[in-house]
This record gives sequence, C-alpha cells and structure tokens, in this order.
Amino acid sequence: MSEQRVAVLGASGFVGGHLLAYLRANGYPTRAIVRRRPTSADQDYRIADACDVYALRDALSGCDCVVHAALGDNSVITGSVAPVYAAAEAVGVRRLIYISSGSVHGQSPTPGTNERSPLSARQAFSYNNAKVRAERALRRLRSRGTVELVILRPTIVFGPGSRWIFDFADALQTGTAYVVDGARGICNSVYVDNLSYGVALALGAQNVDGEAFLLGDAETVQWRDLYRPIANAFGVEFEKLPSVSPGRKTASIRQRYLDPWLMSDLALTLKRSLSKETKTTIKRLLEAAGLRPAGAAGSVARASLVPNEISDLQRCEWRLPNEKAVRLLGYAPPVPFADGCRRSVEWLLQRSASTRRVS
Amino acid sequence: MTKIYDAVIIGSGPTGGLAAKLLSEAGLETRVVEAGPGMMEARALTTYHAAKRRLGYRIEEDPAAVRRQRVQSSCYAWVHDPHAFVDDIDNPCTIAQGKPFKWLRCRRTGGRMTVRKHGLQFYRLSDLDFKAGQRDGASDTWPISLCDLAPYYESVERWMRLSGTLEALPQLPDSVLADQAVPGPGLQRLASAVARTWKDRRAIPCRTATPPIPIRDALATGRCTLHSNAVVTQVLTDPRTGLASGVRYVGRWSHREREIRTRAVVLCASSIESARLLLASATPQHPAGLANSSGLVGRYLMDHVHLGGINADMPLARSDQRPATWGYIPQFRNVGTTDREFVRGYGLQLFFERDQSAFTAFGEMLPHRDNRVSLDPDVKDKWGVPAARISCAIGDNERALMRDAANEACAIMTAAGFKSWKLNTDISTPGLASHEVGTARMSADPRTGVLNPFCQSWDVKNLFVMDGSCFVTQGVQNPTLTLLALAARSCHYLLESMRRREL
Repeated sequence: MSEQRVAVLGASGFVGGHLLAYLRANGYPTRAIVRRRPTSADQDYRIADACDVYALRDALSGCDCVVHAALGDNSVITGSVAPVYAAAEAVGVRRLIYISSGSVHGQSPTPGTNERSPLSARQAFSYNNAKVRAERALRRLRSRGTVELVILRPTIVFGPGSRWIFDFADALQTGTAYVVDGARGICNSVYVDNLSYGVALALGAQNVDGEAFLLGDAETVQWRDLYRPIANAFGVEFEKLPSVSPGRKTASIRQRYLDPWLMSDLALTLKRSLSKETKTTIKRLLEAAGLRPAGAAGSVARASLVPNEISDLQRCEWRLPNEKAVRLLGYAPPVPFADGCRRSVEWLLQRSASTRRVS
Repeated sequence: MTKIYDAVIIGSGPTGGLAAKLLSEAGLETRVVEAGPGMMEARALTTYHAAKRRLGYRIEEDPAAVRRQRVQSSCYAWVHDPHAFVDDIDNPCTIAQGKPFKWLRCRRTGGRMTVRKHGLQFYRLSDLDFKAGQRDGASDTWPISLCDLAPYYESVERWMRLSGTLEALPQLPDSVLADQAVPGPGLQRLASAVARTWKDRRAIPCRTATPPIPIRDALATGRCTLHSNAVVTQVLTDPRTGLASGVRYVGRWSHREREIRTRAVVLCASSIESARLLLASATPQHPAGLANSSGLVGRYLMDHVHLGGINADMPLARSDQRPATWGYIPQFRNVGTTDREFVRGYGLQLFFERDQSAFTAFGEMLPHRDNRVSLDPDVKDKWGVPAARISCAIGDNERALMRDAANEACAIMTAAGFKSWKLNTDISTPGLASHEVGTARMSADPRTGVLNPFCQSWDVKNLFVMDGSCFVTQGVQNPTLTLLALAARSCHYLLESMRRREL
C-alpha cells in the first residue's frame, strides 16, 4: 500500500473529531468511519457500526492504521473490540490504536500507579470495568492475530466540545455547580490536541506493539485550575461555589455482586447463546417478580447526590505519569494546559453566544 | 504393472461427481482425485463448527481464523462453514494491480454445492444466451444451442428432482420439475404487483433442489474409487503420442508424490483451477500449457457482476411471515428488443425473510480476452503448483447493467409497496458471485477456442474439461444446471468415442 491511510472510528465524536482534524492538518491521509452520513461529506468517509464486522471490513479496506475512538454504552465498549480487530486483521491493517481511558486505574488511582499496575475489572464504575475488559480482550486478540496493538490511556480529555467543559458550564448557568472539597484534587488532564499528538506519535513509533501508554498534559494541575477560568468566563466567583464533602457511598448489592457477574465472560456467552424470545421472556418474568424495574436498563444516579465518580475524581491524589510515553513515543505535549483552558473557554463563550441568539 | 484406469476425474464437485457417476454407470473403471477432505471428514468439520457457533464462538471475530482465510472470509457462507473453504496462506493466488478479484475456493468432496447456506438455484440457459453473440455482436457465440443441450438438461433435472414452477418464458426455458413450488405471501404480493405494472417481467419462485452430490451414486456403482486429500499437480502426457497419459498428485498432508495412468483425463476442478492445472502441465510438446495451442487457456474469465444490499421492509401481517424463501425475476432487459444503452441483462434474486426482503442482481459479464488466469512466475502453493494470477476487470457495459439493475430493483419494490431502507449501488468485487466460468472456452474452430463443442480438448483428444471453463458467454442464470448438462453431454460423447475406439 503506497499511502498510509489512517481510519478513525468514532470520527463524529469529541475525541475522534478533533483527532481527524489534527491528522488532516498534519498531512495524514485519513478516513472517517461513522455510523451516520456526516453533514459535510467532502472528505473520505465510510459508514459502519463499530460492532458490525462485515461493514467494518469494507470500511477499513485500504487503510494502514486504525484508531478506535468510538464510544458507546458498556456493551459497545466491550462488544466492538473483537469486530474491529478481526476486520483490521481481514483487510491487512498494520496497527490498531485503541483509545482506552486512564480510568482503567480507577477515578482516584492509588499513589504509585503507572502502566504496569494491575488492572481490576471489579471496580465500582461499570465504565472502568468495560474499558478493562476491552483492553484484556484486545490483548487476547493480539495474541491470535497479526495486527499490532497500541493502547492509549488518556485521562481527563478536555477541549472545545468536551463534556468536562460544557457540563460544568451548564451547571454554572443553571446555578447547580458545585465542587468537591474545594476542587483541590489532582486533575489528570490532557488537552485533546495533546492526545491527538500522542496518537500521531503512536501511528509511527517503532517497538511499541502491545504497549499501553498513559497520556496527560505536561503540567500537574488541580481541578480548580480547570474550573476557575470557566467560572470567571461566566462571571461567577470560583471561590464562592458551594464546596461539598460527600461521604463515600457504599456500592449497592447489585453493583457489588450482580453487575460484575452480569458482565463476566461466562454470562456474556450465555446471553449470546439465548434466543431473542427467551431473553424477552426472562425480562418479563423478572419484571413480574419485581426484581427489575419495567423498561429500566441499569441504575440511575440520584440527581440530588454527588456522583461517586465526580467526588472520586476531584479527590484524586495521584498524578498519572507520562514517563513511559515520553520514553517510548517521544511524547512532548505541544499545547500547555493554560492554552488548552483558554481555547476551551473561547469555545464555550462562542457556544453560549450562539445558543443565546437561537433562543 | 501399474493399473490403467479408463478415466481419471480431477475434482469431485457437481460436474466431477456427475462425470464419475455417468462413466462408471456405463461400466468404466474410474478414479476421482479430490484435493479436499472426504465426505465424512467434511461433515464432521461442519458439525463441529456449527456446535461451536451455537455455543457463542464467532469465527468472523477470531483474528487467527480470519488471518488464514482473508479472501475466503468475504463469502457470506464462510461463517457457517469455514472448513469448506481453502486456507489462503497455503493456497495463495495473486491478483493484478488495481483489478480486485476474490477467488472463493472450496476444496471438499462434493464441491461448493455442499457448503451450508448455499443458495442452490438451478436455471437453464436459453437460446438468448447461447445465441447472444449473434444477436448483439458484443462477443463470440456458443457453437451449440439449447436443442443440443435440452435432452441433457432433462436427464439431469430428473435426477436432481427440481422444484419450481412452469412459466413458459423465452429467456428462461422451463425445467422438468419433480415438485411444484408454492410462492410465499411476500413473493405473491411482489409477483402480482410486477404482473400488474410490467408486461415483460415476472417474479417466480426459485427453482431449487437438494445439493446435487452425484459422487455418492458414482461410488455406489463399485467401479469408481475416490482419492481424497490428493492435490493434483500435473496432467501427464505421453511424449510419443501427445495424449494425456495420467495424473500426478501429492498427498495433502503427506506431500508424497504419486502418479496414476489412465486412458482419459476429465478435468472438473472449477474454471480457474482447471486453467491453472492446464497451464502448469506444460511440457516440451505443449510449451504454453496443455491444450493451449490456441493460446486461449485462461482467457475470457467471467463472473457474474453482482449487486447486493438492496433491502426493503415489506409490511406483512404476522400470519403471513415466513422464515426464509427465495424468488427470482428472470432477465427482462434486451429480451424482446435490443434498444438499451447496454447489451445483455441481469436477473434479480429475491430473498424474503419474515417482513424483510432483499434483492440481489446478477448481471452478465461480457467475455474479455484480457480477463484472464495465468501462472504467477514466483508464487507457488504449499504443494509446489504455481499460483494462479488473476486479472479481471469490470467494463462499462457491466457498470451500466448494474446501474439499471439498482434503479429497476427500486422501481419493483416501490410498485409492490415495499419500503426500501437500503440501496447499495457498489458492485461487489468480481469473484464474490462465485459463478466464475469461461477459461477454456468451446468453439467450432480449433483456432478460436480450447475445447470442441463436446468439452473435449482440440489438441489432446483424451482430455475433457467438464466444468465452467467451456462457457463462451455467461448468461444471467446461475450456471450449475448448465454445467451439469454440459458434463452429461460430454460424458455421452466420451463414451461414444470409446465405443468407437477413437480413444
């Protein structure tokens, strides 16, 4: 293959979109793999669902590298890795780069955590567990296939369009913003262009097959450093935001025992071998017995309580190291944290200006 | 003294099996050499895979399996029966730059027809196909016509016990049917809409049967022996007479080389494989390949152009929904008149399942001298046979056909009130229709073809090629029934020649 085309799965998402723009700006031939026809179809794109191996084979053919940045619910996270890897194998892709998450180490990793720390799929947050499972599945697939695998674990990816930015901004505007313990915990941030830069390095790096890399910004910052500029932009004094100090909520029995089992390989295999009719019958029986709320698909966090995820994140005490990425990829994040914040805030102001105009 | 067989048949698929059946039933001592596993082994592998799949194993998501069968795994049936297909690493095949082709190959006793989920549709070709070249001048024409082949069609159909309907269409001759097919509710609705809207089109139930595996009957005669897991590397010729004298093959696992002697060689290895074997059997007497004095072995490769992914919802009442049924809309372009911007036509295969329908267009590919199979000078397969090098491109006529097919499929769906939700207009890679034919075409003149009208080589009198290789033009119908009829006719001729002591 003469040209080293890079396919980006999930190109309509936040990370995928920025990554695509970054790669194009840096002269990489790219192809966007999306589920729905994009509004501007001037560039190379293909339509495929990340769980549909045959659609992916068509979409990936002719590509040298694939970046898997597609997100979905937990079943998509775990269910998409095998189709993506097998499709890449079928069409002779050289390398697959999987955008995992720093949260495989937990929202508040224990001090000393780095890429070599063991991963657990029995964490309190099902998203973390799904990402751990996806990584494990990819490693198993790698041992059976020939497509090189690089796992990137970015942490808090922020930038124009990131939920970390607009969620907080929306909370500010509705007056529901709060911080946990003064937001003095460490924010393992990575500006989205720094992540894209890391991906570009991983596309070409030698001897990184099967490795996982944590990616973060160069600076060590606190959550208040991320939130303060946003608050200021909206004319809110950051120090006056309510600071809550929630107690640790214990996981429910369902979360502690049932969820890990339901997500285990055995249960997934069993689920897959059941027919649709049987599954519907079981669901109906459970509903009738009152064990499963009608129409529900998992537990919903109470809005009045601070989610464990947020409180854990904002109390984080460990700065995840970039050391391995620096050493093996030559990673040197080009965008300083302050610049990233500025660009994000600019985007926010633009966005709120345009929404105001609409309403 | 080594045993001399009356006939050695290379390949045990439908035509090889039929040749073995007819020849051994006529009293010849025959031997069938098959590169793939025997019937028991094949069935065991299929059952094993089906059990694994039932337990949740998804071979399409297993990189180790996909890696060994990168090409084969493009076939829709591969996930259901992967062991039927060859291993692409052991069986390499090179493709000309910029002319993608996917050669789907099945190596097992019984051939491709035994693959699970095979469509199994059987249609005759009509004189519109046999005389196509004369009508529009876009290609050469067959040296035979339907009336030459009709008795053989009939005998094969009687043996296969086809089910279908009688339609009296000029473009799709009726077959001898053992069973009357009843159209399902989806097809009924479509058929009445088509009959209301167009005079020249008809939607009919498909003509189908159980997989034809004539090798079973051949073995039952007691005069036929089957050697499975034996990869033929060369057809041997006698340097004195120039005639075929035997076959050299190696064990698939043992790699031990063996030779058998015979009075006649019948090549039924599938179009591309047969051409490859002929080319690989070159000797000082036949420097360009066996039976290749015309230089046409491997040329005029055709495969149906194939357009899938045209899907529609057909709102059907629950009581009218059926598991899975097939229908067919025979060729309607260039049947009565020839005023289109393209020549030849296409047939639409219809698939109905519950309230879903899918249309697949199969269009005729014009024969092109440059669409060809040759030998790769560098690449060899695991058994030392030079790999095939395939160069096959779709032309403008095929593209125009498929454009029209997509439009008409859409129009037919609309007329029937189906709600189309997907309309793919990308022609699939050649080869994926797995109807490849025409690499050693027949002709009335030894200079313009490889085989005579009885599938006998012009150069080597005791060499017969009874698979799809002999096709001159392709027609739009699925080729198997025609292959079988041609093989039956050729066997009849072979037996007559032997009786007259010409062989």
